[in-house]
Amino acid sequence: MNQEEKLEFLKKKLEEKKEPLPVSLEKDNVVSMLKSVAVKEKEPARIIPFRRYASAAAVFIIVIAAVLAAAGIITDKPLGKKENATTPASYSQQNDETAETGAASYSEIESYFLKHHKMIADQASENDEEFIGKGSDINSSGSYIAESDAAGVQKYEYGAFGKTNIQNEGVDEADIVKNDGKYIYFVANNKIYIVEAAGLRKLAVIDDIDGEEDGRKRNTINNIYINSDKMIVISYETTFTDIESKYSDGSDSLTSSAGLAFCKRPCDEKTVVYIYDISDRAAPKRIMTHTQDGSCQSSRMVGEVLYTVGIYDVDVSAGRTEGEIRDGCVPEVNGKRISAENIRISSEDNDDSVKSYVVVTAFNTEKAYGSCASFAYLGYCDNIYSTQDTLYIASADYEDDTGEGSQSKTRIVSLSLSEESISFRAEGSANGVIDDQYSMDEYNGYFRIVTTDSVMKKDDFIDVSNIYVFDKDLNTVGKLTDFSKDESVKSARFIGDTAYIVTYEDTDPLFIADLSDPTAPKITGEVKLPGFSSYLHPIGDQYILGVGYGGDDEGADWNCVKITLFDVSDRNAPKVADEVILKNSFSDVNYDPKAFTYYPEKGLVGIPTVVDKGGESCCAYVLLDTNGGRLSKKNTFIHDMTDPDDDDFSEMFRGTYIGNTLFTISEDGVCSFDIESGKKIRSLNINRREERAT
Amino acid sequence: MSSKEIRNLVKAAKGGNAEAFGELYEIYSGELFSYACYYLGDRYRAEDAVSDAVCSAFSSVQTLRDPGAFKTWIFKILMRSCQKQLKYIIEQRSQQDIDALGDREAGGCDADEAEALKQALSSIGEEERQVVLLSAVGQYNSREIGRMLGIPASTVRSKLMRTTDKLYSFLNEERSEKDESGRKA
Repeated sequence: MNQEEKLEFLKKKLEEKKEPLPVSLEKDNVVSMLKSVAVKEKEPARIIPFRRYASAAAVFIIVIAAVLAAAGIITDKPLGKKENATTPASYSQQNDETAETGAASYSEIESYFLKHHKMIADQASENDEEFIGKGSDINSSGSYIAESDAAGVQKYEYGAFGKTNIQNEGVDEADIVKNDGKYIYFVANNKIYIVEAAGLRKLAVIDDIDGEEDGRKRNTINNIYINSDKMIVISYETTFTDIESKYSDGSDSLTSSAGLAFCKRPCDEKTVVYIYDISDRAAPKRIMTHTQDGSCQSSRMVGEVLYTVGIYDVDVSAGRTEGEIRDGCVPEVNGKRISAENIRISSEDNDDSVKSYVVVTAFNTEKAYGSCASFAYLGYCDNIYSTQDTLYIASADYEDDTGEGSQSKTRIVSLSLSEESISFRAEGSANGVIDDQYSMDEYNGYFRIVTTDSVMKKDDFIDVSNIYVFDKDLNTVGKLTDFSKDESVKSARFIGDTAYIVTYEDTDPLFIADLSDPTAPKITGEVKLPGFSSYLHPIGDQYILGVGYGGDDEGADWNCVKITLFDVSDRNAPKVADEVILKNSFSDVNYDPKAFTYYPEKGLVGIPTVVDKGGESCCAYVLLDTNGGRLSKKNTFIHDMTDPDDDDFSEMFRGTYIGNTLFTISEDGVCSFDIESGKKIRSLNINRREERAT
Repeated sequence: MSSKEIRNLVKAAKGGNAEAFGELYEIYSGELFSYACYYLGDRYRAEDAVSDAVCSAFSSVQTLRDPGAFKTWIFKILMRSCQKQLKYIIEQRSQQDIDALGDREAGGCDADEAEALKQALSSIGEEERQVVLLSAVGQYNSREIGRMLGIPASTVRSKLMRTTDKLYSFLNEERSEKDESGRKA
């Protein structure tokens, strides 16, 4: 029986043997219970009525500004100064029309949150608990193991090597695999392995980033950067507090007549960045730790400077005391509150983004324990786009107004970045939501995005695709709405003044848009084909490669990976130059562009796949040749490190290369192959099973 | 129910309308309870977990940002609620009981198949259980599960594969042992 059949068998059994729904959980009883615990006769329980006064959010801001101005607090000093700078707390008026300001003071911030806490407490309800944690198994930790390796000058292959698939030159992005042309670094099993590429020798393992034995603290490695002789590790740490096992009235069940429980906040979230000195690759030394409140959404590195972007939720649920709110309503970086001048609480947010901050920090990774710049604003972060000096943070807002029209919006906040400071630049919005970071781009001073909006027209929802162009102040200067009816954007790529956009509902049109006139984006050409691409990559000037799914008239075929080479030399008439379909396969590239590797030196494209061979899964790294406007399979490399005695299966998540050697990586280890011949050279098993047992 | 009807219900629920929330809840009530039951192996704790989650969800309905994602949103709240219940269960049970759960006994009648399922599920790790139940009961795919648990989709697929194999073997050995004992008798 193959995997699918076994899963079907399980599903059937689970369905057959399931317990009937208890009476207390039937709809009518649940509704009565909800009514008895929530305040119903009052005004609908919205957190803030701000959203109703859409433009009057500005009024609120102006009121604050007026108050502050009257108090003589507003000056011309810029926001976002360094934490340890000695300037007095001050704010700036960005411009006279909007009079937006940062926070006046901590007491202002505290009042803001206490007010929302009161609104929620009035509902007498229990808010949802914080996310309990991204569990990876906790290992009993020790210090890292430095595998012995001797000295001697290592001979290694010079030349081209695989780099992280990043969006903008000069702006590095974190990943679970890094390659510096001599060593391969990867994150697996919540550890970091340093492997010397020549000879595939494991030099060191960093395994002390795990948390504490009693399970109170859990630390999960997100991803890493390598910058010459430094390794930067971004991790997510959750600390659990005790969970009260009895409710306030002594009962232990919500279905008792007692009413609601006020549980302690179950966990604290922090982003922890570790810097390791890896000048001796066999002996990494941890030299710095940076912490900030909240989870890490993303990060970027420009030169030596690391920028982190996280989300910090303030818990204002009914069970919190006033003191707890005061303590927790300002995010901390390295144990210190971000100063009030670097916090912005004016906003036009909808209800639910108001309780969380986007926290952005910057510090130079070469200066251990140097100072750190930080900035926080009320809002949410779904995706970021970064140039070397500007960060754009996009978040989706789903309207809950009734009525016709757009049902979702994207809010964009831009921040100016430098090692010394992070400051607010501008804010704007567009209809619709974006797909991922590739839906955004800045070029020639203009910021462009592609969105999919759900628009209600006469009782029905229709997906529409839009392009928006903003100026430096994030004012909309041009837009093209509804250019592909009933379809949603699946992938996008901006190259200079041209945008390539794939939308999908039944077919997969690739659209080419001309953005040379920022006030009037227009579609110049399109080509329809079945299926859709999830990721687009430029190949020279003439071609765009798409990785996605195939399909036919009936829709997409999710069981295959389709790679399409589009000839876009004629902007008015894109064509499909060639395509390759990998049957019974699945690739992570469809979800994570970092799994995609382009080998510009040889004109090759590499993607990791999992192939279903009659019930058995097989990890295959597929290398495609894109030269001369044709697409063909150059070689397929099978990454097979599964121990036949062990029922474990670990997927190969990345491939990378140095010169003529390809490396494939999974949680079991690394394999190396010769790119031209396809032959396997050797493998390194990191003995996951043994390590798990310790 | 069309997606438009769902969105209208979500809008009403956000306005504090418990009936509207109840309608939404009803669509998923079976899956939610099934998930909790199999995850916790205890229908009474499961009942508490679902009640708890529903109250929590209703009172924080404003955190539902995408009306189209109601199911995932409430499932996540349920998962947290289940983890909370699991801690109580573990605290309450003696070590002896936990060991007993791990024992496999060949049984004779159909009710024991339910018991076997329960034992099978309790023999695997928490995260593995979450993964397999989100897939088999919640009907989520590996990417969705990855996002809900905060782990990469490839890890989800690996775990799902391992766990499916383990559970399948467990259940089938049970059956063949039953056959054996049936035949012997």
